[in-house]
Amino acid sequence: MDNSISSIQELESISPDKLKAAYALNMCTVSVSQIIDYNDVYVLEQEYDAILNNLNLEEIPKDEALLKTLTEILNTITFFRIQEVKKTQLDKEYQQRVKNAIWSAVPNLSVVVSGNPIAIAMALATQVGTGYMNYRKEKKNALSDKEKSEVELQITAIEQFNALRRELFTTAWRLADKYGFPDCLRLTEKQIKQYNSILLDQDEYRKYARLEAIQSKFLAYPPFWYFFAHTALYIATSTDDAEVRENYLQKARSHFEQHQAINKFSILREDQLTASADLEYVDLLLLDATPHYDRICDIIADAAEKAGNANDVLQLCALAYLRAGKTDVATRLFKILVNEEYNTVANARILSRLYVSQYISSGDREAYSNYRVLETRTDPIYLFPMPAQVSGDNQDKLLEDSFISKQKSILKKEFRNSLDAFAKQNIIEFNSVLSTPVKTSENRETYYSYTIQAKEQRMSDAKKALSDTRSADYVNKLRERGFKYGFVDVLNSTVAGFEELSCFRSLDTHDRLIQIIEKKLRNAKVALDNLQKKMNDGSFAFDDYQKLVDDYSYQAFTEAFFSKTKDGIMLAIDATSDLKAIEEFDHDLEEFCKNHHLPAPDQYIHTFKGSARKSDNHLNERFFNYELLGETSDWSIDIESIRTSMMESIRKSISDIVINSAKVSVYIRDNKQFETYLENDNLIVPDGSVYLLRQKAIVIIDDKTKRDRDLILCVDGIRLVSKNTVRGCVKYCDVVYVNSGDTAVLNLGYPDVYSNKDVKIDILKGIIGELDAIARCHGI
Amino acid sequence: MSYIIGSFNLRDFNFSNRSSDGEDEEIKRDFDKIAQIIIDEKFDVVALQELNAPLPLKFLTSVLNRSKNYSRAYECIFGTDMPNQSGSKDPERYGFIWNTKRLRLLKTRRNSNPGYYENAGAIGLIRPPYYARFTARGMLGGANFELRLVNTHIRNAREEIRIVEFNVLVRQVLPRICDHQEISEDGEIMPAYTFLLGDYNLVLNKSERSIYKIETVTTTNYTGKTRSFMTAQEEETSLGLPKDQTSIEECYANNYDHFTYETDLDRKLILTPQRVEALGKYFFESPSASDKLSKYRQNVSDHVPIRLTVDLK
Repeated sequence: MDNSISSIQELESISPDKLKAAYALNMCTVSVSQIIDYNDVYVLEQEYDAILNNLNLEEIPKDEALLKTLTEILNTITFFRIQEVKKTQLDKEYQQRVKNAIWSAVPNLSVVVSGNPIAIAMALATQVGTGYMNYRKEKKNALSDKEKSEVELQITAIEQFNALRRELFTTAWRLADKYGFPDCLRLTEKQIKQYNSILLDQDEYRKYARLEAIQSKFLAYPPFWYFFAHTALYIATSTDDAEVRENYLQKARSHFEQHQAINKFSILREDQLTASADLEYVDLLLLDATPHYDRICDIIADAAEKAGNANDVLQLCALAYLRAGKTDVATRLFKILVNEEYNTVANARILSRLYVSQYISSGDREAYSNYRVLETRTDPIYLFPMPAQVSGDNQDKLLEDSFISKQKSILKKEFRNSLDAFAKQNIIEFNSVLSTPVKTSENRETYYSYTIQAKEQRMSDAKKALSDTRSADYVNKLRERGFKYGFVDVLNSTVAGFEELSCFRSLDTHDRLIQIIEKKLRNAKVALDNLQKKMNDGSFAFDDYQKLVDDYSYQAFTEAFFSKTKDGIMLAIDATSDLKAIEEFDHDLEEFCKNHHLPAPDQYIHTFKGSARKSDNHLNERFFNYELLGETSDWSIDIESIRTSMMESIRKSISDIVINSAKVSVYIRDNKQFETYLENDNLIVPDGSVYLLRQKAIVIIDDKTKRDRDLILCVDGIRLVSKNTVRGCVKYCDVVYVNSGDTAVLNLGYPDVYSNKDVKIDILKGIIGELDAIARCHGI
Repeated sequence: MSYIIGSFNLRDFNFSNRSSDGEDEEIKRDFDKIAQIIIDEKFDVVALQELNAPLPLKFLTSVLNRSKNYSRAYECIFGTDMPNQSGSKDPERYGFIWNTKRLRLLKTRRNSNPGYYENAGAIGLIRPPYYARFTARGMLGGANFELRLVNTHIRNAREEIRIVEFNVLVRQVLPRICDHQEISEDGEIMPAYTFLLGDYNLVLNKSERSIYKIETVTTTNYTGKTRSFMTAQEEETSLGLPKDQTSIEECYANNYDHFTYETDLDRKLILTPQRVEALGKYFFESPSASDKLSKYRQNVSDHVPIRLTVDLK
């Protein structure tokens, strides 16, 4: 057949069955082609979720070969799917973007309850888009090479998809024949390839023009019309020229209508693409001088229904409802999102704002109690404050002020903490400029850190090296290092790091702050030159080293700079008056932390139990016992030799304690499972750290039953592990064996008692006796 | 997910109690033991050499299927009509056993799969290789690829001849099989990964003992472009006669069993060839090494199996 179909009218003359078949085929082939052309695991994941795994099999042509090929594609995708972890990471980045956009897009909500549409400045669906659109748009420029290689599909996967794609084309060709739909409706490999490359075009105007050129080929492929409309709308909303804007708005409107017209078959069970299209159409319709709200709400409802469980789409629906004045429906959707823990902070903020508004304006007790429930769902510090009772006209304004001041104080705290962390990170770099003679590849960060202990350790190592017979070697090494340049490098990177913060760049005192460091460097020049000279002629001694470390530390160079900069930033935060500005600060800081691999800023302020994860908080862990330096006890021997002798003495007998190996296992130190056990991220050591525990532990008796009460035999005593929490150490001599007839137990000091019917407690008791003897020998 | 391909020379596999390979050794074939090895090593498919008759193979398969397990159901095929054998009294044939829950034979026209390869390149081979095409496609969680296994046992003739046979196999037959384009009856289009495997009766270059040895990398431009094939598995696999061996390592005689595949395959797959430590693992109750050896030779074979773990990257 010839290419004779060029308009919707002609398209409508074709029977729905034929159209449906053509559409379904095109959908599948484009999906698979995009997986291959974009060569990206996340696209694979999206196509799997949004289309291939989502086909409505009732609507698809009943063709054995087609169905079989589709199953094969799904199987192959399942085989190569990415791990959940990576997916969450990408999701999180998207949520972050949306979070930053949302709050600034929602202005004063005090009028919401009256049911009026809310004038949100931004058309979010158009600007930010759904996860599906967003990732593809960002893909070209956002990913670094390293990230690109991480998301790239493996060559085997590409090979297999390529094979399947070819099969799909063959099947499609046969189907076209069988169903007798005009062959021009069927997309060819070449057309799809072109289409895929156009979608990645960064220049929106050119993209639109290129799509325009191929539009006649894509009559039976609704997503095309969505992307076409999307591009037009995007151009319209981002241009300053009123005429261009009007022109492209018109185009967008007609493409959206075309999309609606041909997209009447539900080929997909949940249709994220249609939902996204709906939402953008709503954005467009809301631009009208007098929006047709009923129609708009119908379209949003359609989108919400088609969104299925795509939370990103639901979130945009909720915002669209807000804009259309359907506060009650929006509230319901936000509540769902909060409970799904999707972008919780941003959604909970809006939700709390809605509740408060409802309560203040109408004294709605339900909103009040809902708010209280919400407080348990997320960290209350982010929520808009709920007043104890309704009072006065000005209440909303007052609340908003207090909310803003609270957010400001959180932000300040975040800045202070993050900048401190940044300083600590730089200290490590700075200190490592003066390398020590000790190999530190594994514990470099603790060795060069700012703590007094670390400094003492470095001093003592240097002292040893400099008083050694081979001190010349070490001095030689120091000389070659060129510490002066190393210092300047680190200081440079410190200031360069600050430059990333726009709030730093815009400080009035910006130049003066940098001059503080410059001045210190100038003042230090003579002394540093002298020290370098001493290194050059080999007369560098420990006294010089001490001088260098004490007088020319990172802190000495930067302390004033840090404190003045912080003051400046605090003042700048205080000077802000709206949430948008606060969000900008927050975003700035988040980017900064991400770039420098610092913990996310909000991690410092989590007082909320639900979200405070254990792994984030290592601040109170201890890694070095004071015994190590021989201060508080008379340990003269190193742990290692005690460990060895203890292990030798129990190696034979320890496995005898197990009665039922299905329920109890014993891991000795040199065993792999021993490591695995201690690598468990959930293990909590309240009075130390896993590192310290690992140094001392010799045997683990692992209870595999639901009771999960394990024992760790350590150098200095026995430790009970109950549900991943390691209790305090009980000295071997303090363990009391009690045999009350049928059950034997070990008393590990009130209230801890160890008993296990799958362990021979009496043998264990003997072993504990042996260990006690060894420990006593070594004076523990 | 990984697939495990095995190769096993089962020495004179029949029901007889004496070996007919000229050594006239007493044999007490222990089918349970052999089945145990195949199951425990989790072979998804195993290429078998030195099969003398179809019936013992069928029996072995029935033993394999005796213990019911949802993840296993074995099937076997015996290569009866070997070409180039007119007038020869050589009873030796090839076979495959595979787990139908993991792999299936590809359906081809004329039922040519599996079959002896007797097309261009293979004319004149003393024993043509037996070639089977498997796929995981359509299996639970199976991806879209084809495994082509070329099963060989190079005849124990003069060493120069063995080298020639090896060169023909790798330089002429293997590239052709790699490139062979015949879509299955169901019209499935898949990438194919091809392996030559079996008992080569040739030692890999690592060993110093023999002057006739094969190199790890063999290049060929027989099909018009230069390509290279890699032969792997360097451990010794054939077993000596029981004497007074004190360690298991002494029981081995030669590294004869190998896998060969196109070098660039490791861009797509992670391949781990290994010898199965069958002596120690399946005869742990025997006290000494020589004991294990004589038991193994009587109950199983004079080769230990080899395995290749294939991970799709």
